[in-house]
Amino acid sequence: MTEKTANQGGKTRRLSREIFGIFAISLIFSIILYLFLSLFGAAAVQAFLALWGITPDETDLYRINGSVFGISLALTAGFFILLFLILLGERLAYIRTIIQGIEALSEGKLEHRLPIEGNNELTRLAEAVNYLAAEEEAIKAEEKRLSEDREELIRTLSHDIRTPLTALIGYTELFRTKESPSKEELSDYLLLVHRKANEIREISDILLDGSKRSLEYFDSARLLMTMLAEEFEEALQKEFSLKVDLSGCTDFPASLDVQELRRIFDNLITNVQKYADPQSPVCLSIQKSAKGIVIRETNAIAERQSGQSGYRMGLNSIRRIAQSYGGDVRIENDGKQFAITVTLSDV
Amino acid sequence: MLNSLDLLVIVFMGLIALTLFSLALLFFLRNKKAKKVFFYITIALAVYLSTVAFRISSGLFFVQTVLSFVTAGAAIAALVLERVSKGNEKLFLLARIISSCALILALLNAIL
Repeated sequence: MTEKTANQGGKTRRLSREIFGIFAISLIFSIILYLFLSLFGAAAVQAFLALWGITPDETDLYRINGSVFGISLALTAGFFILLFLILLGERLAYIRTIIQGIEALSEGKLEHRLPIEGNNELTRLAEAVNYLAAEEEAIKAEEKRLSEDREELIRTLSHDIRTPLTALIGYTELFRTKESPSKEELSDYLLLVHRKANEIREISDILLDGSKRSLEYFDSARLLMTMLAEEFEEALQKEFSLKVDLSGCTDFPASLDVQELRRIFDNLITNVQKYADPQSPVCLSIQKSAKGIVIRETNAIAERQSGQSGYRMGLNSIRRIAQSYGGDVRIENDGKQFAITVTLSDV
Repeated sequence: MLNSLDLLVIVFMGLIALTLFSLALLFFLRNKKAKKVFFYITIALAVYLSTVAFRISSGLFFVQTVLSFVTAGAAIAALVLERVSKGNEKLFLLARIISSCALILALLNAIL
C-alpha cells in the first residue's frame, strides 16, 4: 500500500487488546478511588470534626462510616462506568469517522481521505479504504484521459479526411463541367481520385481499427520530401506565390509513414488556403539537421478570419504526428505573420 | 434525611472521585481538545485543594501550610508552561505531569 501507516515499523495492536486495556485502566483507577474513599474518607471526616470541635456520638459515627462505605461503593461504580465508557467511546468514535468517510467516497468524492489514527484493525481498515479510493481516483483520471484522447483523435482524423475529400470533390466538379477532356487529363484525374480515395480509406481505417503505423524504409528520403514539396506547390500555385527551399534537405535514409507525412502537408495546405494572405508569398523549407527532419512553412495572415476551430484541429493533427516521431511543432503567430516548424526526430 | 456531616462526606468523596477522574482522562484520552479541558480542570482542582489545605492548616501546621503554597504554585507553573508550549507535545506532557503531581499532593495535604 502506498498510504502512510500510523506505525511504520511496529506490529498492529488488536482492538480487543486495546478495549481490555481500557477496562484494566478504568478498573485500576476505580480500585484506587475506592481505597481512597473507604480508607481515608471516614478519617478525613473525623479530622474535620476534630478540627471544628464536634464530637459525634456512637450512632452518628456508625452512620458516618456506613455513609462512607455506601457512597464509596456508589461513587466507585459510577466512576468506573463513566471512565470506561468515555475511553471506549473515544476509541470507537473512529468507526464513525470511517463510516462517514466511506459515505463521502460512495457519493463520488474520491479525493476524500480517512484520517489515520492509532495502530489496530480499524487503522488497517482506514488505510485499505484510502488505498482503494486512491486507485479508483487514478483509474477514473486515466479513463477520462483516454476518453479525451480518443475524442481528440476522432476530431483530428475527421478533420484530416476533409482535406482529400475536398480535393476529390473539387476535381470531380472540375471534370464534370469540362467539355471533352483529353485522355491524358482523364488518366491524371483517375490517378488523383484513386490516391485521394486511398488516403480517405486509410484515415477511416485508423478511425475504425486504431492507429497503425506503416513505416517504410527509404534509402533516400530526399526524394519523398521533394515529391511532397511538389504536391504542396501544385495545390497552392494557382492562388499563391510560393518559395520552396530544399537546399538544406541532404540525401539521407529514413523510416517514414508516407500517409502521415501526407497528412502533415495536407493540413499545411488547408491552413494556407484558409488563412494565408494571397498577396504575400508562402515559403516552405525542408531541412535535414541534427534534430531530424525540419519542415518550416511561413505565410502572411489574411485579414479575414474564417474560424479558429479548423485551424487548431489541423495543427493538433500535425502535432500528434510529429510527437509520434519523437518531435514537436513550434508555432509563431504575431497576428500578421504565421510560421510553423515541424520537427520529426526519430526517423 | 441528610445532615451537614453527610453532605460534607459526599462533597469530600466527590472531590476525590473528580481528582482521579481528571487524572485518568488527562493521560488516557487521545483527543487533544479534551486533554486540554481536563488539564484546566486538574489545575483548578489543585488550586482549590491547596486553598482548602491552607484554610485547614494555617496557623496550626507550618509544613502543611507551606506545602499548600507549593502545590498551588506548581499548578500555576504548569498552567504557564502549557501556555508557553504552543503545541509542543513534550512541554505539554511535562505540564500535565506537574499539574497531576500538584493535584495529588494538594489532595493528600488536604485529607491527611
